[in-house]
Amino acid sequence: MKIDVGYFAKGVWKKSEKKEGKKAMFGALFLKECRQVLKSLVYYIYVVVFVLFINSQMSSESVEELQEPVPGQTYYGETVTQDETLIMEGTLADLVQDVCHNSFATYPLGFYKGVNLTAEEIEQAEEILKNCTGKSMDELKEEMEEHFGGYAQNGMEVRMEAAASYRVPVKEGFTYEDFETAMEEVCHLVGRGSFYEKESYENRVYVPMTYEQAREEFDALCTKDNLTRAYIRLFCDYAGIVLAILPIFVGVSGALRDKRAKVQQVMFSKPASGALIVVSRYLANLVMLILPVVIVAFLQQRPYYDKAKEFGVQGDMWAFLTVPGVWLLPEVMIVLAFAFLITELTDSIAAIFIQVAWGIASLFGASTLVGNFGLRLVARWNTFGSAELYDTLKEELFLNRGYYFLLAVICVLMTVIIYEIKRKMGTNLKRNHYPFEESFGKAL
Amino acid sequence: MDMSIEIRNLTKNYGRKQALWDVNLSIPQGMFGLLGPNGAGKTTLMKILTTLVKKTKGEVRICGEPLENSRKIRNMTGYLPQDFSMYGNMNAYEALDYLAVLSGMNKAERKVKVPQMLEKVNLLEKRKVKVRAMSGGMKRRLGIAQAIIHDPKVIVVDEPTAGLDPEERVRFRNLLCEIAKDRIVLLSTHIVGDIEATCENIAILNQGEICFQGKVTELLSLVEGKVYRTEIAAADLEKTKERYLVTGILTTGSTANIKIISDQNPFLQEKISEEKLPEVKFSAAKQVKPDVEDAYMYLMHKK
Repeated sequence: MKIDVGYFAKGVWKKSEKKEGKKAMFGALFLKECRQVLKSLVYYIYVVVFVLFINSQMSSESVEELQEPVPGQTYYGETVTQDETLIMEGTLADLVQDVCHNSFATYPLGFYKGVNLTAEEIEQAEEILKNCTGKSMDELKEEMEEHFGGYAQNGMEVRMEAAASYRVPVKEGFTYEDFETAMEEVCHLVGRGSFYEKESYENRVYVPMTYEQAREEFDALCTKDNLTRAYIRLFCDYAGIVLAILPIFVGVSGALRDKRAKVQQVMFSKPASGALIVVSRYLANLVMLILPVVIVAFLQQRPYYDKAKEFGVQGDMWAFLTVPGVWLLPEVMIVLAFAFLITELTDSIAAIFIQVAWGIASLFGASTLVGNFGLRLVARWNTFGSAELYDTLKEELFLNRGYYFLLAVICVLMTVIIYEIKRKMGTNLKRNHYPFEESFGKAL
Repeated sequence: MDMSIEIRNLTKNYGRKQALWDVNLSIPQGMFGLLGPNGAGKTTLMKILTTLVKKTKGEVRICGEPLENSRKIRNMTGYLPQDFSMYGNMNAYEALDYLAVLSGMNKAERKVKVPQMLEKVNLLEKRKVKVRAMSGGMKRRLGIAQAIIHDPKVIVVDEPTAGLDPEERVRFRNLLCEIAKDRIVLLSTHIVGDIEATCENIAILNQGEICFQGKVTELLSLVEGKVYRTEIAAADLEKTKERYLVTGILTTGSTANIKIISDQNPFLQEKISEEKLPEVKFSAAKQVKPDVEDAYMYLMHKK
């Protein structure tokens, strides 16, 4: 073993080259991190589960069944109604049930929060119902039991059908403005983020479509969504469910890699900054997580792109990139950033449990399967089309996704800070763990 | 260019536990050995020098640069930790290339230096071997390659030969000597043989304090004329150990050939005290040339 000391003496690694090296460092590290993700078993499990989930959900959507509506069809699908009477009846039906059970679901910050009213508040809610319907609570309760009694059989579908068909008519002369005022009073009792907020109840009541509505919907599908965008939105709805949870496993596994391999000391002793290490690793994981999503979206989109041609429409061939870019990218970003932050902070798999809980709460927290984005992590759009409705809710969606995008950036920055603090704090030799946990509070 | 490490009044506490106490050291260019028993504070000192552990008090300058400039210090130091490890799924080439990126090297530099370093440490032929399949020796060699790849002025090597077979150990020591020609190599170990074979300048750390600093010859002079070899009955071994610092024992049948450190010739001593302490009978004790181990043991027990 001979060392060519002359090599060092010659100063091959000059200052200018060092600068160049720094510039190239990020790119090189990013590619190496991508390769590391590709070597991870957890990543392949993520890909398989994602593909299986999407296939199982999207297989019910048949491109062959997509036809131009013609007059005389028995069913044209369903749509959110704008009919004020139906909105009032549907919303009051929900209110009767909630008052009866004294259980109100609210989502003040996008997270589920169950609310129970006091006896006095319940009395006030009953009074509101009486003002709206002209009936006492006992009468309303009796009617409700009678309705649901007709659907005595067990089973989710039966219960859903019973709930969907349950309506509570308003009293004569009761206007939509009166209804809005009454709902404001309910919101005052229940708190923020309930189904009784205007934005929520106006997008929750579905009715069967007429031919004219179906025609309008189809035209919007072709002209506004170019067919492919509508389909990819539906894809994003399903993908969003699974992406609220799955990336956490890849993220935690990646973030714990140094600890598992016991390379922290070597990494910390290198000149590379914490920002470079954390950000390159984060972006590599992000790209690798998004890659299968985009590929599957592209493959799913193809038949619809061809179908668009049959309708004489030029499909949006980039929908597989642009729609998930807005819809899914911020979601994956925040889940991954959260995984990095919590794992760096705790050196444990705690992030998995928190994220699973968050994902599930967000999924079941939606008041409707179409829209009602709020600040929910999972943005639902369980419908093919509804371009007009999408246009009205687009701003809310962008706000939601922008919020998570920013939150993800903040989480990554915090991860960098924690990484650097850990580096400065060093390791406890005897116990072979970071005294960081003990001194974190002081350091901050 | 100042090629030395200057440590002044360095103290490190872990809570109430004092790992280093008022350490003063001057480490010149070349190989420098830091010797001490397990738990003496060697690793703490190594980690402070590589910015992995924050000092509690004192001043440290590496090649004139204060330790507080951690980025500069990391640029000029290479560190081989005691338990060096890398991602098991990377092969030798990938692992070294990855760490070279973290050392700020661009693609062109890495293309030249990675194979070159692998060759230096005899791993070029094994470049496709995964880290998880490497022997302890191979891992250490990979570790030293990553520590020197960015041409640092200072290399800090913590217990590099622990667990290596004799051949690997000799190879590794030679490698360290070669790379120390134009830089500072700080070798921390509790294996005296490593220091004896490689370092001219040494320091001995015990219970967080420096108890010796100087050249190996100066260390040896501490025990010059105090090391004896003699033969005793094997049965007297325990009693002898109670009375003298025994640094070597070779038992043959009922007799034991021992090496002891004593300020006075134990043969004469025994003659004088024979009537009072007749239990150990020494044959003529012969004064022998001391080695570093003798001096180290002498210092440890003197303390």
